[in-house]
Amino acid sequence: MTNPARVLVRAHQLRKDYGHGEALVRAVDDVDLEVVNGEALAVMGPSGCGKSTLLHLLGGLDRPTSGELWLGKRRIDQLSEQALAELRRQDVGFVFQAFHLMEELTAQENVELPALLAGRSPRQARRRARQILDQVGLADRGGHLPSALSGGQRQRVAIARALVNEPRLILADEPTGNLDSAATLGVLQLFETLHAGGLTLVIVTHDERIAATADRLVTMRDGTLVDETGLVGGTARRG
Amino acid sequence: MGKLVVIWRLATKDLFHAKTRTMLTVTVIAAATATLTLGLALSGATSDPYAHTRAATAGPDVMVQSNVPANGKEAPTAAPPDLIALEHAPGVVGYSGPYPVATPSLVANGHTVASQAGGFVVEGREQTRALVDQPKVLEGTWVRPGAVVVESTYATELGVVPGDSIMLDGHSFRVAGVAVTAAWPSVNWPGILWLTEADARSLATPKYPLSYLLNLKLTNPAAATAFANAHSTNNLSAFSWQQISHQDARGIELEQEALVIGTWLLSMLAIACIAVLVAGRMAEQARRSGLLKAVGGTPRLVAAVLLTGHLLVAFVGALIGLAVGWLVVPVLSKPNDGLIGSPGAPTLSGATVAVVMAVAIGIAAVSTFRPARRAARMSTVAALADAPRSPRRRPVIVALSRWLPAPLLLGARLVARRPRRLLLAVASTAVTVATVVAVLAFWQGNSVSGVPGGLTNPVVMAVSNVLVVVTVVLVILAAVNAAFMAWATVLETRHSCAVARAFGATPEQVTFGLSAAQVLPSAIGALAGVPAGIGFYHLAKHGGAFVSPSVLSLAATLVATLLVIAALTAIPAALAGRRPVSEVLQSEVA
Repeated sequence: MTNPARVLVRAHQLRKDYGHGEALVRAVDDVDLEVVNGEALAVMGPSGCGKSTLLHLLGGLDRPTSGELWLGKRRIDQLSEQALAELRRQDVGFVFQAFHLMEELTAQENVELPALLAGRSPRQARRRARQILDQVGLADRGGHLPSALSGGQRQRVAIARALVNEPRLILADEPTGNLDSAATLGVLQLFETLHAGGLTLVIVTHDERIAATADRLVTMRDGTLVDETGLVGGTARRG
Repeated sequence: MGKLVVIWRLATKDLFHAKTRTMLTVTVIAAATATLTLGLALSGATSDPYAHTRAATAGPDVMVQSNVPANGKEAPTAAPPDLIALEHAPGVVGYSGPYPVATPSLVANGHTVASQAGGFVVEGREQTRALVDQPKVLEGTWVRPGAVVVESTYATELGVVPGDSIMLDGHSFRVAGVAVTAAWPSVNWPGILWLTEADARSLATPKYPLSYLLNLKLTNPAAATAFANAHSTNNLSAFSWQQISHQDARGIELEQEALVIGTWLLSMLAIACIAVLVAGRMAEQARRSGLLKAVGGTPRLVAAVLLTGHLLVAFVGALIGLAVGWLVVPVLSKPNDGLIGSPGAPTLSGATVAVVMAVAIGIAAVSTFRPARRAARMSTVAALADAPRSPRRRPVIVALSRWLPAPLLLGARLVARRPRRLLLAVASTAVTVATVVAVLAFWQGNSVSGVPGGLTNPVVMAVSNVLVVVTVVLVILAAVNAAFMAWATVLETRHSCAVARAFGATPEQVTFGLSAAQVLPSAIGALAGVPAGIGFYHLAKHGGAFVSPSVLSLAATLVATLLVIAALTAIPAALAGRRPVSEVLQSEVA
């Protein structure tokens, strides 16, 4: 039994349906899940099994059809759009497979954006962006446009952007899906560093190497969690 | 042949697929071309009614009036000799008069008009038929002692009919009839009343003595203007039938000028509107173009499909515009009450049809060319991925916007992404506000110099009506334009907005930002439209005193314009703000 005080994310009977009647698709089907503070959780499964949908639900990008979702002591599945936006601004950071950087903004301006949205002054936002870019090894690339960066560098900018507001939870959707081996290794090391610093991570991935760095691995199939493996200390735990 | 079939099939299917947008485009082009048709077809529309009236009233070739002596000189008790001498001047084959002309004051139907202020004149006439200029009675009977005949346009302005009474210098006269004449312009000129000669003479006073009027027939009516110019002196004012006809046509000419200027403004807005429509359509159609290329379509084929669709729409729009214009011309060119006869079938010449078609197809071609070329050149992979077109980087705006609140930060950056659309928004609002301000200035100018007695100048009324119609069409077009621009911006910035929302921007902030992206450039356009409208009015009226609408009406115009644009753009922006972020982001990588 997990200590409730340590649980950061808790999903209970979480369900997400798309469409109606015969066209109904259940992307997430009664999922129960807990993620504790400082934990790194990997979610694996075949394409279309509902991993990304689950991640979007956990971060408040989408609303569940039914079930409960908690972030810390706050129930978030019934929050208004306004409150969800504030939640994403303060408590959650996203990393996407396709990076989703704004092409017309430099790396530093992309990282600054969430800080400016959160109400930081331009000076503070700039200072913080430089600090984070330095942390991800891109201090000398701040003035470059995304089109002038490699895939790995773009993903590190995206990670920096996710970190800029010091969120409690990082949600990464196939963060190495568009990267070559060398870039994957760089991102992997970055996640390990973040995890070692106590950040909570939920990573959807197909990449065994990424999954291997997690504390725990859950596998999804047809919208449900079918397997859970505790990886810390090499002790596997079936759930 | 096969290629043509493919182009035709794809273009028409696409038009039917996007029915609403197709209909809106047709409407926009039809509005512009209908106005152009009106402007072109109105040319010369009044010449027939004046000719009818001239024939029916034995209208003079030249009308000569003696001027009232300047202060200090004794008024003549009879027609001056130099006027009488014209009865037998070389080239004169007939005449009527000289008739006495009095300038009393008038009270009728609640209106009090001082003739001396230029409101009207009273002409004394014999009761028998004159050889030259015998006004044609339309209602009632001709002059008799104690009864007055009122010129038809003026009777309409005064609101009098046969049987009513009017007061001239305190004497009551019954209205015997309503008549028309070709000896005086029926619009933009003093009103005319006819009394018996004795009654007219009885209205003379030492302060306001009589002048005299002579109507002449010439051997060569075509040379009437030269004759009138040759015989105008300090004592005599002469007018040819051509000059009088020109005055009557002036009303239509002004309407035509207003319509032609309105057409150009509408055409500009139509280009802006269609450019935005096409750009919006392109944002939706990138994947379709990619598919076409993937199955073997050449870039030229992709461009041809897009151009064909829009040229087809332009053709249909122009046909509707021509039909509407052809139907409305008789209404606008209807002769005023002072003329008889109808203007006949509107002149819809081959040249008019060709010009209208060329303008419509030109609008469609100009606004479609760039997007079609861009679609043709877009990489097939990028098109298939439906990747949004990379916006331009505007470092100064990005840097400055960092200091703005989040919604304005988003708005300013969205504006900066598409400079051409920004210019279209500025131009569209500027043109609309300039037109509204010009109309306000026209009303201001013409209420100041209105007809004495609080009567309405029929020319001012007619031009005002045309201006109102043009302005309403312009405003509707500008509103459609603003909504389309917001819609196109929403489509093109869906990815950026979704990313901003993923990182904490609220739907309200995104909605406000998208709305601000339209309102900010519109505010610049609206401010520029004020001096442009005032300048435009003064250019159109060819000089004269400076006239400006009141500060209050200008402020109301600006505020109303921005509120309407904000409301129109808020709808697509709010709809975009409600779309789930995950849906947008997933569609971008699908």
